[in-house]
Amino acid sequence: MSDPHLSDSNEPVSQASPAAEITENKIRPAGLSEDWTAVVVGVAVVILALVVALFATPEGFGLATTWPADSSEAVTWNSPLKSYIGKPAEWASNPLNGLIDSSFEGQADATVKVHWPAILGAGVILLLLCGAAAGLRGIPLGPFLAAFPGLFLLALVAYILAGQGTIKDLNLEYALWALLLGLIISNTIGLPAWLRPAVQGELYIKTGLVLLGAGVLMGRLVALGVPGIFVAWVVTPIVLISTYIFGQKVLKMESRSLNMVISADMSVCGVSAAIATAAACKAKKDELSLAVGLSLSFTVIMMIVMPSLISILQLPPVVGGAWIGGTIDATGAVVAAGEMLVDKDPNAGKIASEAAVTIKMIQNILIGVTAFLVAIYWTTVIEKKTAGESKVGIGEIWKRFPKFVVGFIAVSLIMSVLAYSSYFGDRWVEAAVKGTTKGLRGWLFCLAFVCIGLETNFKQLLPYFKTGKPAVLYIAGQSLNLILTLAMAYLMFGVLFKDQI
Amino acid sequence: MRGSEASHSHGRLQLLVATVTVVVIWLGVLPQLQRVPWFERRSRILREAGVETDAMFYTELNWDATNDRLPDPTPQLRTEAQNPPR
Repeated sequence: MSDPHLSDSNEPVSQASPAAEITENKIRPAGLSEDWTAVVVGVAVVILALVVALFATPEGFGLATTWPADSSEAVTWNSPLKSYIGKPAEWASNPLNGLIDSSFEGQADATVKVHWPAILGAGVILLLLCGAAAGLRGIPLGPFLAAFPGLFLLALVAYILAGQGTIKDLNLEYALWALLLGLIISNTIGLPAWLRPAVQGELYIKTGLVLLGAGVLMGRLVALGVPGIFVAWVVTPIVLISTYIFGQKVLKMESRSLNMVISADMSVCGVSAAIATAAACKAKKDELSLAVGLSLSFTVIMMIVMPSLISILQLPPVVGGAWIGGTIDATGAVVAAGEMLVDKDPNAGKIASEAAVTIKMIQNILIGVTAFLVAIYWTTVIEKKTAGESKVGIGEIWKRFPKFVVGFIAVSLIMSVLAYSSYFGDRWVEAAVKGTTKGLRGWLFCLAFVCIGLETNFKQLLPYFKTGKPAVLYIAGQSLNLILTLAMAYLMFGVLFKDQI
Repeated sequence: MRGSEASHSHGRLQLLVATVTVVVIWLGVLPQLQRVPWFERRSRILREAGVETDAMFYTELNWDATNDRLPDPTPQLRTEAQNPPR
């Protein structure tokens, strides 16, 4: 079994030999550290995405004053790589439609779209990308490249399972099915030896997080306005910190990292926040699995119950939308729940989902800040306490600090500067993100969750279910979140800024 | 040795059962569930609004449909873009 933690910062790295050592089924790489490998590969992909997008610059769309004659809204700027990085489409009863036909069966205007070339393209690009990462890590390339297609195939099956219409509508994301597939294999026939070299979950997660930074554009914060900032920036940290303290002081959680991951995924934005925080506080893989499972389960309940509750309470759509955006974990579920307010009146769904997605977007952007602060807190307080040290020097803090967070923040800042330095930049970054980094990041997370499942034994998860503390922590934190967010949303959108919205 | 073989075949049997269960749920139960009026109506509303329900992050949302819902980050630049200095 490999290291159960999502960090390898303390892993002994041999400087003497460039080749990896394989002892007792464990590959001990001797190249770059996992964090730096993720940063190097992630930054290289972002640069490539930006360069490739430049080749597709729409005619008349330049840095100078040569803007399109008509409104620039009409200009579509797609990266050429977009056609080569795809995932299975939605399907209803025939999974093959997820690969071949993007149309939803039974629709009158069904159009045939072939998806498998883009999926195959994603597989080839990921093979090259992850092969390069494995090479930098010092992992033997032969066994890795032989095993990777098998892992990719499992991730593809997870995406196909997640693409079923009912599953998709319920926001049961691919992460859950990737975990499930991995768990089924590891708890029945065990992790096959031939697949083991490609099982590098932490590397995929950290590289995916650096790519996630490309979509965290700080300029979006400015556009939110005071009421949105109050709902997203004031309530979220209060709930996160209160839930963490409640878990430590009242519930006396056995694991601080599990407490932090659940507190963050519940208060910030679900699975993506759980992944970022788990990596920042070096949580165990089964702790991340548990937090993701809890988040997705409660998301399904909340996305169905909240629109009805908002109707019963007769809240204005904008207040209801802000409440949804601040409390439901998953981004897609937030928009879906907002749209379901269409029952109130035809325009209510649009108003609610606009408020909801705005609040959720700001929480999405909070991921970077959260991961950075959690990493600082962990390296300066928790690890110091665990090691029984009275004082930790800057050098030691840097040594312990998860370096991929630096890559994440750096990529986010660079993309923000590029995006908001000109209108051209905004569209350029958008083309690079939606054409390349978004798709690759999704696949990397999917691969990571398959790996986590493959390395997790059901027995490891049982103690958490016996105590029930994680569920109690989630429910207590979410209850506080519901109350505070409603109060703030009502105050901001329903009273103080009512006339400006 | 015999115990190991028995455990191995038991594992394979468990894998088979799990696979069959997944296939039955995904190909049998879930498509039926989607025909339930409540689900059908929900799917229709979400599809008409272009909502990517499984998005994990805001960049995964259907941008063409979502950009209308998001605040414009560069209103001044956009105005300049549409009225370039002469």
